[in-house]
Amino acid sequence: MKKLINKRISCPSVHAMSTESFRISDLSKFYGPTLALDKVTVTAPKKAVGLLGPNGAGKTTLIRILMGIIRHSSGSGTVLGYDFCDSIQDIRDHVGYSPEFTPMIPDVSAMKYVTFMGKLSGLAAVEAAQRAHDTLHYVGLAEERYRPLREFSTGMMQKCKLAAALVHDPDLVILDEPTDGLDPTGRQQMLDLIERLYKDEGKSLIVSSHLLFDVEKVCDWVMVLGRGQLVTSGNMSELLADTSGMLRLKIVGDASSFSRKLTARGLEVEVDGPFLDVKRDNGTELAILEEVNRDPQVSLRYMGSRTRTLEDVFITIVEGRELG
Amino acid sequence: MSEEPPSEDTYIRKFGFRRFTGIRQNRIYRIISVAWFNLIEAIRRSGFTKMLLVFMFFSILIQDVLIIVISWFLPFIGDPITINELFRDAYADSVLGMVSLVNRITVLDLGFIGFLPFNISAVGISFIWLLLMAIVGGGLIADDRLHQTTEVYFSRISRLEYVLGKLMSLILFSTIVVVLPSIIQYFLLSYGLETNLLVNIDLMFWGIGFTLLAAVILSIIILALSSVTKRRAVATLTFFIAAIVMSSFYSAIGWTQSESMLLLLDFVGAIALFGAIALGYESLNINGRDIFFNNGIGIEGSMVIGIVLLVLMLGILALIITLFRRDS
Repeated sequence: MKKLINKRISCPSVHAMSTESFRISDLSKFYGPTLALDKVTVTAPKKAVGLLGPNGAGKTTLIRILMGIIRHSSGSGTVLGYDFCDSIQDIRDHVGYSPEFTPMIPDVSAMKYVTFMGKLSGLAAVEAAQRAHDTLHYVGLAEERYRPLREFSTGMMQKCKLAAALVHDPDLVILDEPTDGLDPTGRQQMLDLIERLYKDEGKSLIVSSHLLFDVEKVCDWVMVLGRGQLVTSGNMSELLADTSGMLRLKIVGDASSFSRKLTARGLEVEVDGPFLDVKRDNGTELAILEEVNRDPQVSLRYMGSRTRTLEDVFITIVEGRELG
Repeated sequence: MSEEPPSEDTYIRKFGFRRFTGIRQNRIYRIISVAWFNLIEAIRRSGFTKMLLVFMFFSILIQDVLIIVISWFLPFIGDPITINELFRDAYADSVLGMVSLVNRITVLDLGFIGFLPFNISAVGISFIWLLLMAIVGGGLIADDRLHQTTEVYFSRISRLEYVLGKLMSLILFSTIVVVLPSIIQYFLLSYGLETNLLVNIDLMFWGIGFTLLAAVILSIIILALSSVTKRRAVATLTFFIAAIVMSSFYSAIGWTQSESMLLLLDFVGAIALFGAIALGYESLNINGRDIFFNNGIGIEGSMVIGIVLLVLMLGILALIITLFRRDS
């Protein structure tokens, strides 16, 4: 009871100065006999963190543990510097969470719903109502804010969930499958919103998704889970960096003929759709340019390092690991 | 100095995201927010609830007016009890009647019929109150589970705060529906019988405490039922039917014995018996038969207290098992 009548909590907290979104150590979670998370240890920076993994990898379980919705079986951790065993209420006050599914109170308006969420996070009634107006404007639901939630489309509901997650001005926003069920336009709008949150408003993000393009677009740090274990984590740029040492060309002209000419010069060439990937070695670029000059039917449009998409990385490390 | 024309972007920036620099409220504020929001929404979205509330308002009005009218037309004879004793018995009887269903539990000698009509009205109030509690409380947790709203609650407040908020919404509701009328009745009856308000003030506090206790126990039971299902209709009907059926056993089967143990199955009536014991009554009249709490035969006072505590414990246990299991 003493906890319930504690004095008003001033904001922001010194913990908000933490440089980490979250840090977990040997975190495990069992659902009965099923192991959902297996001794995961990771430190995520205060950036836009992408949480990747196939279905059943443990992404939502990890998020629910971070929010204190479920209890972990073993291990320890902090969110924004707050220990999630001792300071779960502080975590809840400083983290905004938009769940994967659609939690609904069907008969209330978006305005009432978001205001109520603000009050649950400790905002005074007037402040909660003002911020509900602001956040609903921000996510693009200004016109629809007095409509009952049962009339909302999937896209509008996703935006409403985002507004509810933002209403108490959290330092960290956790978005579980934020583009789930959206059409291409709605998806793009949602990704733009998330990007704005990170770049313009300075919010730290955790975006959990199985849509790799979404994560690649908005996140700059990723962690990949597979079968409850941490598969890899790190900066997006490092993950996407190509380590194969291949040079990628795009030419206009007969690509297969040009490929044969390069092979004849002793270069290792792979045809990848409209691209040619050439094994990089000393003098490779010079040899390619000489061949381009020699063949008037061919013109070079692009020559540079081969880049990988997040999908390439994901398939390599997650599916390769599962095959292994 | 020229001012740039406002663009769509400046509009969004003006009404868009702002940093929160205020002060967060304490935990009790959040519990009250849950209670108030749920209370208002539960009443607002159900036309039947509103209709029952209107019906209940008129029941209470009729009962309260009856108190004064009957006291005018049935002049007090003065024998064998004093006017103050009559006031105490009549008030206790009226309040007990609000928390008894099928079984007619009274502290009055039924040979004296002067105040019987408004006791029947009080029993009517108990039916409507129970039905309202079942309708309002049945969906409080079941709807959240159905629409997965519990996830957003638990990402902001603790499970204890959630349960306390829901409980408080039902208690607030009961406060409006029975606690407040019990206070009003105290003043009206005192006015009607022309007794001194302060002499029997303990009785008013008993009325408040008893109706609040009944509200808490019944709220916990309905919340426990609501937490084990995702269908509000299941929780609502289970609660209401169980209350009626359990209270019917005594009048249907146990009527041949005045102190039949079947009376203890009536968990709503048991709360009324508990209230009478708390007020110091050692015997009551149930369905026209007298029962004695301390005669060593049949129902004893300790059994009544035990049953009330058992029902309370079972309700709390069911809530804890279903809601505080954090893996769910």
